[in-house]
Amino acid sequence: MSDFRLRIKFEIQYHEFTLRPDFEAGAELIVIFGPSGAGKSLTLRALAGLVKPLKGKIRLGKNVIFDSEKEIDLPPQRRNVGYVPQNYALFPHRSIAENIGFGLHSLSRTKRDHRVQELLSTMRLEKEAERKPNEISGGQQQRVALARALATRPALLLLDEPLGALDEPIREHLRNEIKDIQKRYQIPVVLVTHNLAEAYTLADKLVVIESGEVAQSGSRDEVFRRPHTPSVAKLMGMDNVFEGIVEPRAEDHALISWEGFLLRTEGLSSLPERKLVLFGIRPEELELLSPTQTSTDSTENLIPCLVINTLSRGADHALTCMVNTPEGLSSAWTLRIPHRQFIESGLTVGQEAMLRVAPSAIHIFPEQ
Amino acid sequence: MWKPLLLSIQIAGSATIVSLIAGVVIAALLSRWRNPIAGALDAFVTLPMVLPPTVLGYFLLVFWGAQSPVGQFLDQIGLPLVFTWRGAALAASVVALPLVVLSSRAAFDAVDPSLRDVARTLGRSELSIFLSITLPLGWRGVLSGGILAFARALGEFGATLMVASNIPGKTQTLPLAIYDAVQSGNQSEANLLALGLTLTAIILILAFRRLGTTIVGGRAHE
Repeated sequence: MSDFRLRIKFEIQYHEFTLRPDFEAGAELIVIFGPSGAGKSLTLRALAGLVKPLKGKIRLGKNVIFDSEKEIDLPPQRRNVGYVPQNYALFPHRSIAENIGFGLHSLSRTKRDHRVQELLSTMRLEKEAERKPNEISGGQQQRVALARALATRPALLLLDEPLGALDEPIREHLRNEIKDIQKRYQIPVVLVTHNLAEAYTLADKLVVIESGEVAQSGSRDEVFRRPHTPSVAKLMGMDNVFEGIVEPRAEDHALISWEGFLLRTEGLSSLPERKLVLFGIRPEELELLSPTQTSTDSTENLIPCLVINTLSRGADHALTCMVNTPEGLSSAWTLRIPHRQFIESGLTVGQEAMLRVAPSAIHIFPEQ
Repeated sequence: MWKPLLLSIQIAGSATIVSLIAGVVIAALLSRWRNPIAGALDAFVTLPMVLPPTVLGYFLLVFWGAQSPVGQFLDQIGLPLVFTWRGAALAASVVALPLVVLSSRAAFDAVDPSLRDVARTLGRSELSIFLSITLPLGWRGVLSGGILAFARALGEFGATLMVASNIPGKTQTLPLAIYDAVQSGNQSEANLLALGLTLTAIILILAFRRLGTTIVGGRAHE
């Protein structure tokens, strides 16, 4: 297996906006995630060679495709990179088969036809071969765009919001397809999205870009469950972020006090006592017990609260609870409770309840 | 009556071909370049549209007349332009050029740039991209530019008169023949010629409108 490591570190100016992507990845599915306008698409265009960074370096396997110091800047034609832009950019005047074979102009006719046939069949587009792009469905269009990009056997595949314009069932299907493609071709696939669920389901590696900078990059679960900063936490949907104080360890576990409540946590061993720390808890990791359910033997990590809002999201319910602290402050916590559990708990707005925080659910942010 | 008509068609037809070829190349360059040179070229090519045709004809006469190096060279190779139909055709093509450039460029600019981006990542050269994507998707704009150019060349008067004069059977086109007929009081011939030109104009407008409704093709659907 050849070396498909992708290493990028460059700086690019766009209007008044500076983008500094900086990460490394192997032959895996890399998701660049960030809010709209964070510079995600621009990063892809720079990798494809369609815009030129001010400075920096891009390496793909053994090849340097861009290096400002050595004045290397391979044109898109010579980068061997497959690119699928947001609107798929199929050639409207060419048939599906011609679209797929468009990058195979240097192959002999038989070889070209053979490869086009091969891709038509892997992408289940044989029946569509002679049709024009506007005569097929959105999901099929996306598969044509993927097939066209893969036809040239690229060393890197770039996908810009590949599922954005599709209906939910087709999305689901194409997500699996994209994962399969990455596994089959064993190349780095860089995919851009602003949809968190999509980022999570697809990513092996997650790169979070925030106003032009890489806020955090790492394995999917590391970024999702152990964000480095509160703003990454917010982007990753870790809605509950609070400030607490490290308390002396009791027996074998660490303690944080938050607004007069003592919370047992894991980790923390290296932090000095009385130190202020930020901690975060994902909404789906919290439990909410109605007063009748709180007969548990332990009162540990329980916080009394008032349900102030519930919102059904179909599969689950988003709840907001207000905690009245002994110091008389109020603070809102958000939770997600699966539908069945929510119905059975009989929780309603205005009701007193107990928040239970599992010690392992508490994420302590590293020091800034 | 027939000689000026045939001559007009010959001159306007040649002028259309010349301005189409030059206009498409210039439009392709202008729709890609974003620099001061492109701005200057753009202004220079548009000039014939705002300049009075007689002034333009005068400039051309100075440029390729018998006194100029260009004129002397053309004389030597036996292809003089002054007082010939070729000169008239060339003058008409200069007059018609901006119409082809404007119309083609608008059509090329309307082609989704991401199509070209993808084609680049697929290894296609810029020329190949132009020939296989931009031109086929923008052909309606090119064609309507060609129709406008033909119409403009057919009606050319001022510049033609300056460079090719008004020699019956040699450089006398329909508009010049009409002028002659009116000058010599030949009302019936003037009527006939004017009617012929008007009919041609109506046919061209109809053809143009048919294209005009679909001129912004080349996006996703046609």
